[in-house]
Amino acid sequence: MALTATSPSPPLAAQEVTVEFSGVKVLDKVSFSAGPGCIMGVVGPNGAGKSTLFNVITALMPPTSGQVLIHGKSMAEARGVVAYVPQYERVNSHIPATAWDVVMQGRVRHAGWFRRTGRRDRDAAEDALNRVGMWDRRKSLIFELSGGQRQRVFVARALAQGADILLLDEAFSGVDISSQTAMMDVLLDLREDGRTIMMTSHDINHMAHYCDECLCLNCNVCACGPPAEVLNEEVMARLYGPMGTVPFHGHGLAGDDHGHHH
Amino acid sequence: MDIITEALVGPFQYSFMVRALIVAVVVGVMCPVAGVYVVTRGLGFMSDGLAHAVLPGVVAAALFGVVFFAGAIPMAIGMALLSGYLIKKAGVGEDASVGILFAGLFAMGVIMINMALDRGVAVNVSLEGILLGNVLGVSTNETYVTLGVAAVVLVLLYGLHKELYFSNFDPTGASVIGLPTEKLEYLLLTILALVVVVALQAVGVILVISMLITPAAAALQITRRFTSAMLMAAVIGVASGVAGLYLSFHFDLPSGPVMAMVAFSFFVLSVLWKQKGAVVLQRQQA
Repeated sequence: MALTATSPSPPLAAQEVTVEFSGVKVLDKVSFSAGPGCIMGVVGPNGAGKSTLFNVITALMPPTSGQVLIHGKSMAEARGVVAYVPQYERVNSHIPATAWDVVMQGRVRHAGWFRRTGRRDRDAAEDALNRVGMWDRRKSLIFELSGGQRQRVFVARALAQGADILLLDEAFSGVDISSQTAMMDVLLDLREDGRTIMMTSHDINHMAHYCDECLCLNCNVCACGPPAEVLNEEVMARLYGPMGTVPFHGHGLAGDDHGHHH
Repeated sequence: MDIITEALVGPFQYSFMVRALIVAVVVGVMCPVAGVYVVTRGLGFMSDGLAHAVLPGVVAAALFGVVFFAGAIPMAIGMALLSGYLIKKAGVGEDASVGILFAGLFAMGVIMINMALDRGVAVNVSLEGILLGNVLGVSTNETYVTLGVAAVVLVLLYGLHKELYFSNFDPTGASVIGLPTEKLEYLLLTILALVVVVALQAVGVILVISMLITPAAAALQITRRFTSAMLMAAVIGVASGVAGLYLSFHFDLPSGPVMAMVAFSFFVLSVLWKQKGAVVLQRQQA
């Protein structure tokens, strides 16, 4: 909890965030807050506004109304606190980049315009790569790594940036089972630091297993709370329709000692 | 020994050859370095479009009797920013935006030449000259402008390397940490416009693409790092420019096409090198 001990405001708070595209509401008065040391999963069908919510939190898109506060401050004041962990498909894979190159991107703002990165930046990158267990692969090109390793490199970039709120879009897409475990170990470790992690995934059982809180989103907030409480059949039906209960195996998994599995 | 010295130094008793050498070296560094972005971002058609779209500016410069760059540079930057705007704001696809401006502006240039000729105004613009370039005909003023533009381009690419690298690799991630990715994109297009215009007088419209893409593509076959690709591309570019100049002098061949052919041979070699490397690797694994 070291990172947030002095801050009385939650690391991440959305207050009645509404986003409209040509009159159609994509997000409707979305409010929630995520505390320090928390993994929050965002659950919802396609078109529920998950990506839009991430775009608002990362200040890529202004909300039509409402606001997002980072440690009680506006987004503009809190630049650098939030980091985005991209899906590999979203980066330009024609550009050669080693794991080291990617992590050093997290230091771009620290070094400043027209300046070269220095010793402190290299130290931060080294720490970050060690933290995610990818130091030995620092000279590997990103496309030579597995899906899970790539994601750990992008998480290391967020750490090098000094972010304490990490957003992971489709955290488990293209990641095999053993990599998933390695990836989650890293995230659970970061949670122990007091960092806030927000992620989306299509795999609800994973979310139920790993997340401390689930934000059930379908344009508006259907429910928000510990997965054991909120991932019930009623909420599933509101998210996915009556058929939505099929992929989710009732309450059993949700209550299955989530987040303390190791 | 004397024959070799004569072959190497001989051409440069002519001042036009000295200017040509300077321009060949400068173009050989600047185009390939910027070219690494062109290749990895798929901006080849954009570059080709830029090289054609400057024609109205070139014709206007000739009509007003001012230096080539005075017409070509504003025209190229205008085209680059306009296509960037069409792509981002008007939702026209990248290919289509470039195609529209490419065709429209080149056509406008051709019409301007014909209108001037019809009115009996002598326009010192030959379409062949623009297509094939004339590095041997570069004036002293044009040499200075080439050096100046190259200095600006290289300072920007060096000074803003980490920002440009990040925003071209992962625009979303770069925006999230607060880099002005849209401005960086317009900057890259502006740099591209400057580079194209300078290369245009040396190797001509068609062969601009050669200096911009071929050395960079060859370097990317061989190296694993973005910055090493930039350096190696510059080495290949200079080698192509200088070797092309010598060959064209001694064998009395047009300079632009010879430079392009040398660059092309470098690319073929780089592909063979990579294939050989892959074969060796497979044998080791087998």
